Amino acid sequence: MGVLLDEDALAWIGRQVKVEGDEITESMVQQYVFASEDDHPAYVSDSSAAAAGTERVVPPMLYQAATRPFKPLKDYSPDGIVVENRPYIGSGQSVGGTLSVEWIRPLRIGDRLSAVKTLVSMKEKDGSTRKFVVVMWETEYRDQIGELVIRERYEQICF
Amino acid sequence: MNATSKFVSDYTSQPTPVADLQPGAAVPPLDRCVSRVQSTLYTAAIRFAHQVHFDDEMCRAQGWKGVILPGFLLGNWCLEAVTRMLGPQSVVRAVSFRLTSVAYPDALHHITGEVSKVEQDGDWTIVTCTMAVNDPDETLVTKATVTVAVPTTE
Repeated sequence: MGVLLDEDALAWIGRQVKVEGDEITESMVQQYVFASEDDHPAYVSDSSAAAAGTERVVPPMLYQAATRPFKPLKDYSPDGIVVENRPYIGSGQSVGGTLSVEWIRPLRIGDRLSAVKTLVSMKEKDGSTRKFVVVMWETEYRDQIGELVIRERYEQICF
Repeated sequence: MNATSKFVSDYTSQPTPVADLQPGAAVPPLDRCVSRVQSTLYTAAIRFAHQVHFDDEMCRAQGWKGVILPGFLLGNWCLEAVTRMLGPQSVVRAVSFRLTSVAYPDALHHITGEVSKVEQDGDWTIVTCTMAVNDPDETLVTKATVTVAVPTTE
């Protein structure tokens, strides 16, 4: 245990959160392309992909939306994080740490991802201005036929 | 596109030939300046409601100047700089990025990097690059490793 890591927080280690994502749609792709300004021809449209001689795929980071199904308002913390996705540590706030993602294959319109996220570790550390806890989640996302498409390791910095 | 953003390389321009890609080669830089509106649209596009991207008061309480940009967008810039270099047939295989400092809207960010590894995988050339995002004060706000595949041409 530490200053921030009490028994309640440590009880989260090993916790699993089931993710049932939404089907990736053309509309989601267009929203992402416009917001990011990444107009890779493979992402923009079937015709732009064909003109570039490549397969139509979706922006890789769009998996973030595809694996965040909409939730009732009661499921959100006051700072906007879905409660089941973050242990309550210190002030209850967090920022993102290292995100590592491997795409086994590109995502396509019509894909629907599912996964079980596992909280694998928590480590308390001393920062320059405060103590914080590095929370590590590991997730393997599978497509609609159960094939592995994404491996992800994500750090939450909780303080 | 935001008036203060610019793409140094365009997907419609000639991509860097695979044969020219050697470890140490520079990734063409990319500059990005994101308004609060664009940041809001991006958080909506990834369905992320964290109030550090909307609530100035909350952010100032953390010692920041105001709302901060979503880290996923900074990571995406690193992907994008590499895919723009490799052209429209490029396919992202992997990324690992870490936010080293907060990044703010309405500030011009400079995305740079270099090729660290070039490998063959069947008909594909796999290019790994180390990337950095710096803010206008030259503070490193994100560092990343990006792996992108591109068809090997004769």
